[in-house]
Amino acid sequence: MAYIPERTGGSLLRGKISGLNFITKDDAPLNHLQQVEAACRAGIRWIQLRMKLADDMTFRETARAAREICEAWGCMLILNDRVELAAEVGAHGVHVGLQDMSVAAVRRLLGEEIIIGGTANTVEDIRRHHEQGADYIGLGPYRFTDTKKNLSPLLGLQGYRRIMTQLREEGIEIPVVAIGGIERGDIKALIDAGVAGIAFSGLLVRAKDWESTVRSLGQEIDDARDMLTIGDKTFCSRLFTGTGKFGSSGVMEDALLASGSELVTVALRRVDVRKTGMTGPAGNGDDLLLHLRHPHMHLLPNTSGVRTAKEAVFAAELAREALETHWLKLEIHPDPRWLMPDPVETLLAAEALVKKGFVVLPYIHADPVLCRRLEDVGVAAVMPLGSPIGSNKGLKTQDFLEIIIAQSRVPVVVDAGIGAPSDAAKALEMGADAVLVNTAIAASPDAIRMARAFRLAVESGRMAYTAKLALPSVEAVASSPLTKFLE
Amino acid sequence: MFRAIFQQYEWAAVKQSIYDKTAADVERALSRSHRDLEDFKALISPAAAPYLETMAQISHQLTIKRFGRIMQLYIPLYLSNECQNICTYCGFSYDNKIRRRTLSAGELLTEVGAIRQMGYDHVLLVSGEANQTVGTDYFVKALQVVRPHFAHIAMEVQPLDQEDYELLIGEGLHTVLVYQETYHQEDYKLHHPKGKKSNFGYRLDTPDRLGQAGIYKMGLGVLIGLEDWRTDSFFTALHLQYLEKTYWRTKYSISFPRLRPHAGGLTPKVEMTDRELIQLICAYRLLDEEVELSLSTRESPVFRDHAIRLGITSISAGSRTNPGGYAVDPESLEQFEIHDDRSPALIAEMIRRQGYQPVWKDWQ
Repeated sequence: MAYIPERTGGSLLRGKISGLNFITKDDAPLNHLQQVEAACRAGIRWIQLRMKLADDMTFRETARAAREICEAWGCMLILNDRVELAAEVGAHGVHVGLQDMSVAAVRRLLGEEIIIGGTANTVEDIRRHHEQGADYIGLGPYRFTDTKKNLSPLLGLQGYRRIMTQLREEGIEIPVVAIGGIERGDIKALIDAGVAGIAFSGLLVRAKDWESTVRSLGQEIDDARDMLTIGDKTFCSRLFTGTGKFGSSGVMEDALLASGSELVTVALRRVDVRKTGMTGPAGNGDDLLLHLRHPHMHLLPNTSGVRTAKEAVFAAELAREALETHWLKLEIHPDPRWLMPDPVETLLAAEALVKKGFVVLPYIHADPVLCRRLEDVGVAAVMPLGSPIGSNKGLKTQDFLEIIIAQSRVPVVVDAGIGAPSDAAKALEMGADAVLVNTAIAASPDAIRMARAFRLAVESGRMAYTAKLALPSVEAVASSPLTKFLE
Repeated sequence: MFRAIFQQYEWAAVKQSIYDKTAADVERALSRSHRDLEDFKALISPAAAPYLETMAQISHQLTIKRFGRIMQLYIPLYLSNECQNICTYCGFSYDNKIRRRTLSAGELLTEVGAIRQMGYDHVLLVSGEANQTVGTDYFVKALQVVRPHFAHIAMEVQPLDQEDYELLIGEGLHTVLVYQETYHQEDYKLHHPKGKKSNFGYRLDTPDRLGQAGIYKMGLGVLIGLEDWRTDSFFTALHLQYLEKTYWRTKYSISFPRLRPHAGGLTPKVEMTDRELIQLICAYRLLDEEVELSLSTRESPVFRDHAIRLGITSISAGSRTNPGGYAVDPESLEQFEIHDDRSPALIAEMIRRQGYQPVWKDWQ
């Protein structure tokens, strides 16, 4: 049975809502299809097809063609209004305006699978959309624009700050996309106010060079959102999770959703590789992968159980085949009791796997020299342990982690031993790029609640790190001055 | 390559951000246990001036923690003053009408003897840039002459290619000092109008080539006085941090040459006071507990006597900055004027008096 997530965790779409959205525009130098094509080519992965002037026939044909282009580029296609055509053209979602059909009605009509976004100008609008099951909000307009003729009151930066604060106070978690005449210089302040993404229309259709414009806008948004990039992927969430030790797959799925995690490690040995990956039949009902089918969740196969580099390379190739990802958490622990990683075999395997094109994240001791050796062979991140795996003892290796963090050229993910949200927060405060938590969530009597606690702790720790922690005041100066000779 | 990182920075913006640092930034930097480049900026900024004593105390403690009460002694041995470059600040500049000399193997051995007599076991070989006469072939021969007599050999010569460095390392070279002079690209061109040295990029890439060649230790620095020393020092620190991360098997040292009067006669564009030099030395120590900090005889006796407790880990003594200066031809023209001409024995005595041990040999 397909799991239907509750529509309360804004995290559901967090990874998926691209920070940079594009809305097509009437009366532009390029027609709508050309705009879709140009946007996809330039790297945009979330497009709203907005054709206010077209009749249904024209819209239907354009939408179908747009859908094909988007399909080829892996881009989400959202229709503006025209709810009745969404299923027919196979759009990923629809966006309804304040004067259009209500979100609740669209949900009834189109079911749970479709993404629904709603335009909002006030907190009341957002509250209503949220209650009716919207997946995201388009909040605006920011300033005056000629794209939208019948304009609601302009919000300006103050308006966004006020509304986002209000949402936080009410505990409403839903991704909000800012829209309406937004310029490059507005990005950071808007993201800081709490919006998940920004929609552009006029700015892009007027651009001479789409690719460079999209690249620079995207970079600015990513920087402002404090995204984590590892290898070829970018993450909003700095909480990586595991899939072991949960009481049931259903609880696991709910907990992982509550964690907001976008990178989930799966032991290859738990996956039935005879099936064709994620599309395989459910079999005995224990198919882990069926519970991990969420667009924002990336799988990170791990080689847990292997004892040598040779076995690890074999397992990695199997994982790549079965799970269709070249990402790999490299774990080699020949010792079944403490599961201590073998540094020699890990380095050998990492080098071989990088050469074979894997994005390798090795699980290792908090050994600064080993980290450097691994960086030298090209791993995408290092995953030093905080304390023995499964021990929940926290950051016993803190001094070594600090050295690793200070000198690392690749992201540092603290893995293993994190027992409490405060440990995770501490790791992020220290400057770790992310943490991987499994046991502390999975073995909790209330895994879902604990997952949420970890999510908040990780966000809090990271926020404290970027805001720069206050420090103990400077010690008093000793009595015999060293610089008196300069007077 | 560091070049890619360097290109992301703009001189004026960096300079502004240093001068914008506040007392709060400085206090924050002082209270941290690990400091980053933003902290370094605060510590070298004008805002840190009132905190000099605190910086000195921390620098003193950190240096003792890492290095102990030890002062490494080294001495330069000038191989040649031949030079094809025009450098506006240098006594060896091509356009200076001075008598040029390159030591022969026999003369080199005479100089080696004189230096060994003073007690040194570490030596720094120095030359101008004259690739025809004083190129890699010459250095190979020089190393072959010098190697049996010293435990540690450093070089401060023109930038070379990676293969040359690899060859010289094979001949016993341990350390290379290569100063960028200034990271201000336009000013660099101004001060190096002619010769191979006018190629800013080639010089900037030199530490990368050294790292790739697997050098044991390299020394960085800028010539203080050419440009705003705070901004130049930020770039040095940026370079240092990149190198420490990238070529992590290599050790690093920093020097702080201040422009001194010489035969060419360039007046420093920016004057750095003694207070500011102490501030800079301490700032480096607060940024980096492991980096060696080196002080030459350009500085005054009183300054050097105090600086050894503030973060410095190696100093020279009894230096001559002319080829043959120790025995072969003591009267020839020097590259720059020595400010502290006390003998190595006197310097060693001064070091001991302060409770430190002078170390003549720390390598094998």
